[in-house]
Amino acid sequence: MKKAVLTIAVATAMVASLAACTSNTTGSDAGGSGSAPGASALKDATGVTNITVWHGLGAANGVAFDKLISQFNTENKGRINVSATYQGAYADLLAKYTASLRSNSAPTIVLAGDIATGYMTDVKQSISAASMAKANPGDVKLNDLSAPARNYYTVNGVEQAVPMNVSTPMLWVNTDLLTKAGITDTSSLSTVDGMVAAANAVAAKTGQKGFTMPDDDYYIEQLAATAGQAFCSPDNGRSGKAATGITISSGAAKTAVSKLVSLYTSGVAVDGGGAGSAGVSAFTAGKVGVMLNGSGLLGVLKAGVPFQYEALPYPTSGSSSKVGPVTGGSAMWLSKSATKAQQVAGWKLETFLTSPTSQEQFSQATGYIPINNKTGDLASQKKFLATSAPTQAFLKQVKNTPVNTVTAGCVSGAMTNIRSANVNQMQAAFAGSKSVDSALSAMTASAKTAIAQYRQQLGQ
Amino acid sequence: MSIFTKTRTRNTRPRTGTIVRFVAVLMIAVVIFFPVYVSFLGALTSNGALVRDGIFPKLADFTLGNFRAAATSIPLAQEYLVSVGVVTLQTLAQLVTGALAAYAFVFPQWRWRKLAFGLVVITLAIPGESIVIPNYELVSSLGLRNTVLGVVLPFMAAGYPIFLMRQAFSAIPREVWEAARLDGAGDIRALFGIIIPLCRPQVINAILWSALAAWNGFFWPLLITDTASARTIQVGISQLASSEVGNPAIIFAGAVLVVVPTMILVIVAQRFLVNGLSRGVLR
Amino acid sequence: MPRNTPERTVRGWRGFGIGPWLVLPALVLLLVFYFWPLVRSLQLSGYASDIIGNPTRWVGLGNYVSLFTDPSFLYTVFISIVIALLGMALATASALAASVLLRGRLLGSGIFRVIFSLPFAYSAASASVVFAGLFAPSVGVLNVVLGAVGLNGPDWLSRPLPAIWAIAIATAWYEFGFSFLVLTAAVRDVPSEVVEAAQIDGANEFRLAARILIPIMRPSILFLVVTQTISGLQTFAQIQILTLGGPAGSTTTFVYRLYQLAFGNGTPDFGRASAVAIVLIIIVASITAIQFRLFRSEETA
Repeated sequence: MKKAVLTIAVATAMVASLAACTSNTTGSDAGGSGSAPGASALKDATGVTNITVWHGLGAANGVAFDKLISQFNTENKGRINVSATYQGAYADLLAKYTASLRSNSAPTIVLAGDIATGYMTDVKQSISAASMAKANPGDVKLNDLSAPARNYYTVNGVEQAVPMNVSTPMLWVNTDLLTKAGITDTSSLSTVDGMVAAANAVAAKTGQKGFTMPDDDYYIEQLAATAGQAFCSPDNGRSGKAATGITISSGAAKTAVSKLVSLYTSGVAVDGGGAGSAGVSAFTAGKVGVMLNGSGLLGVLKAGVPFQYEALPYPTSGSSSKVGPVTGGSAMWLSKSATKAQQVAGWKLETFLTSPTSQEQFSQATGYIPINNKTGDLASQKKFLATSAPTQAFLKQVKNTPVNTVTAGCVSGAMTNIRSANVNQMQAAFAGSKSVDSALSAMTASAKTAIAQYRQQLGQ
Repeated sequence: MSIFTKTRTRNTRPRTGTIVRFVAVLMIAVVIFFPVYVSFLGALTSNGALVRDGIFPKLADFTLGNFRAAATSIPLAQEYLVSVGVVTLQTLAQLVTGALAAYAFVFPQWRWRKLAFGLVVITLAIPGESIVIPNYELVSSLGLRNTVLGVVLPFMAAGYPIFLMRQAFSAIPREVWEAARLDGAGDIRALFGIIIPLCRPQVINAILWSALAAWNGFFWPLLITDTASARTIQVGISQLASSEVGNPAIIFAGAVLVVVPTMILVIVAQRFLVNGLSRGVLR
Repeated sequence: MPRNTPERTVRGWRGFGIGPWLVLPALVLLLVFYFWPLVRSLQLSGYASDIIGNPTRWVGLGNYVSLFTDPSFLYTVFISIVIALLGMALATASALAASVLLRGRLLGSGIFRVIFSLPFAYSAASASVVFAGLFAPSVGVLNVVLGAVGLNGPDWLSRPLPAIWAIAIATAWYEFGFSFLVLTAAVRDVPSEVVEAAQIDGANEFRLAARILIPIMRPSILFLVVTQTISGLQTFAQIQILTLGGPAGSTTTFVYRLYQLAFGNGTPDFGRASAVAIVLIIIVASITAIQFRLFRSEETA
């Protein structure tokens, strides 16, 4: 009897909720769907314009970022107030952002991670950087910003977001261990072959591990880029046609990845962990010879490590002559649903954050490179560079990177999904439970499915 | 007579197994204590010292800097207060709604009493972590995202405390209740003045369960909060672990800071806890 | 007329008495936050979703089909059950041993009791954070210690099998505290006459434990087995902090899969995530039903 009543109750509830099925719209166009607002929108605003910024900068990077925010708040007291919140790593940040879209409470600016670019573009909730720059000619000088970084955030010919913190992947080496292993000329590590040889030497001659890196597909994508191969086809999705799959199971990229995996299966490499923390701990403890990691590692190393280290360019492979890695980091996406005053205020913040002095301060405190090319003209920056060889190496690598579709990186709304699926395959290959070939073809297959599923969700 | 008395006393039996017992207990204790030892030592020494020098680090490596770093890396103090607030609110709410409901399920007779209790029992079968998506929609649409109330709201009533207290109240003879009513006590006075004091161990059991669940909550607070103003310490700790990549000492320091108050509570109240559970968790 | 005769109580407001009003707060909260989400999850699981997570078109059982034809989801079902059972078994067995061994007098039993209660102070999150430091590859303290006594610790978080054990060990450790407290109370509740009678009959410690103590403690043991299995099926914090579902997806349990689908993959799929939730609910509900059946038989026994 109880059960029957219960069934009826549940059924009634179901019918009732089906009738009241909620379907959220993706936010009103309070900011105007057509043109971007100009300076007058802020001037005409009364009182303090409050804007919110969400970011994924933790630890030292977060501290440096907060410092800039409070400087801006002081300078604009009474007119603009910024509250910045750390939302966790980029994946968590994106999840929170998506949730905020569903409830119409998106932040004014979100520092979305690099691979979110495709998604952020498809979601159509941001005002493009290009249109804001046009409507506010006195503010952000896009032409002063680093070309490879701008290239990354340009989709379908339109610059979507302004890069804020740009990192470049490097080959970090423990020079003490290298010397011990008999390698005194680090330029031999400029190629993948050279890096592998060095790692093997360290493992054989010093008893420490030779190689590590975070279990992040990012570094695999970089191996493709420095092999002169676009990670996604066609053309990384940058030539007008959307990406439909990845190319990792063939070409020079495949060769490079296979060599990398052999380091793991031979025991020369130590697993860096999904978040990379294990690898970083091992490296900073002096137990690993070389490490692939972002330029941001400098902040951790500067705190003090018991060995000499050097930042070398990302190893290249393949036959192309002019290659380089893809920039990483995040960019500032300005919300379409914020008020016009907020949008202009946000643009003012972006101007401040990308100015030479702000970028100088920020980059010196972190491992990000100053994205404003004019930063190099500042006397204080020149002085700083003289003391920081790694920073010089970062800048040199970015300067030497050609601007093309390969170095622009892959743009696809499914990139986050592809990356997390690829990590599983990577780890299987590292552990030796799968051959490199089957891991790579599994990656290709799952990427194709992920993209197809994404396109399906998009089509609705 | 004396011979019999002697044989009946426990202590005169030869304890040949005592040494074996002691060694076995010691081994288990070492295993159990090891993580506590490592986390405290890791927090008190500079990063990497534990690994370099083995588990007995040099005196020179001791430092309090990790705690300072952990407390600046994420707003631990604020998140701590949030957790305390969440525990207080949630436990109080579950206790009050639960006691009222349990009382109503036992003493007053009313139609549909069995059905209502059946509904409560059914919720015991619904795992909390699986219903987060609709709760997320609901709490967000109420505008309570990123608030302490939002963290607590879905859990202001819980099936298990109701169940526990109902079992406890059922064990009280009905005459006791009727006598209280005849003496002029209203339902509320009867509940809080007579019934609950009679079931103190089980009620404390229920309170402990609620408080523990509220303190340990991780998935829901992770989803529903955006900023430190409403984040619980459990979420904060996991963010510390992800943001302080490369510095396990700071992470250990954060863990120690989170655990010390509850640890003190456990050490002090350990005997009390056992007594509270002693009356039978199931009765 | 006297105000408080039992009859009068029943004929209170509209003949229902005060009963329904007292139950109302709890019932409303439970209906809104337990039953409605159940129904809504069922509903959502039948829809596809767009890239923001809004439900779009009805796909009926489509999400379930895609889940059950996906080998990684079948693995998720398998590994969730394995991890739940493993953690529960480790915690219950060791807590049982500890509580039984500490029965009666023993040198330092007070200190031991305190030590055994310590894990109770840790939550899943804080315990996982500590174990992250223990299990970390090449710098993990655990392997350093094992190395010092001549043992070669495995690559805990880098290989599937050790990673599964790592999750189970971390879970068992922090659950040990509560288990120990419950079982110590249960040991205490064993009537001393029964113990003495067995001792007079010549039982040694081991037989005493196996034949007398443990059978009497059965209700508490069963209670722990069931509740820990159910909470083990919902393991999340340990995965989030230690393994992120890896390596190679080997520790992706139900709730973590749900999280990945709904919040972690960049494009939320609330439809498939809800389907995962429904599967989990069905499994847990079955176990709870079995538990109740067991309780009934315990009470009538």
